Amino acid sequence: MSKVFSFLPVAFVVLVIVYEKFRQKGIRNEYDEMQLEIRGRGAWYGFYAMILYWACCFILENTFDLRFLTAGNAVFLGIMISGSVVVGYSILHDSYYGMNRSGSKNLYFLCLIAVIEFICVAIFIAMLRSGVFSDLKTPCADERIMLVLCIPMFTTILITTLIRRLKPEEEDA
Amino acid sequence: MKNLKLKSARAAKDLSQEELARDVGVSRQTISAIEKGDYNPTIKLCVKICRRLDRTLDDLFWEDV
Repeated sequence: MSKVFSFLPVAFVVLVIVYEKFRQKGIRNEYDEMQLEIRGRGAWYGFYAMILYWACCFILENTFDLRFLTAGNAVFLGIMISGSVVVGYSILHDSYYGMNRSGSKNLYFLCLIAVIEFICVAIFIAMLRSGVFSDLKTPCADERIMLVLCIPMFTTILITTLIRRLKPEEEDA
Repeated sequence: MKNLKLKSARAAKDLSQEELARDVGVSRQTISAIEKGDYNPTIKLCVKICRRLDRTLDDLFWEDV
């Protein structure tokens, strides 16, 4: 069972990469020059977010003796946090959803993210109630923790998309 | 610094930001950022915009001293 849970995120990432690689891109480039520059800046911020995350992990482990995640899960959480920064920055600056993607495709994508987020949050609540997070000094052996660690990424996508949609468009005067 | 020349040239052609963006192959937000002075386009994009609006680079992108 633990092998299934550890395989799922990897399979998901591989599917996303294959899908992005082989889908029809259309005549226009996915992102224009300004969007590429913004995405590059977002990646820079994501890199420094990961550095900050590792610094915090180091302090928590050595100063407060907290070792709740295994090494692999800690790395995965770092990637999720870094990715959240990249994605959040890109969405807020209109550089995440490509020019070739229609509104309906984005809506399907957001619905899928919302469903996965709901499942992950439900698992998190179930784990909270069962007392999994009561001992933060012992690495968590529950296989479901990887799904919980995906929550920052999906929450960022949903919230930043909502914020961007609620922001009024500039008037084309 | 706002690019009012670009904005007026676009208005003279009766084009919206969306239409101009589509014609030159960028997003509407990029055209908006150029007009507001928040983004400096590459020379390639400047040339595309000039060709679409039938203006020269000096007309649209040279700063008056």
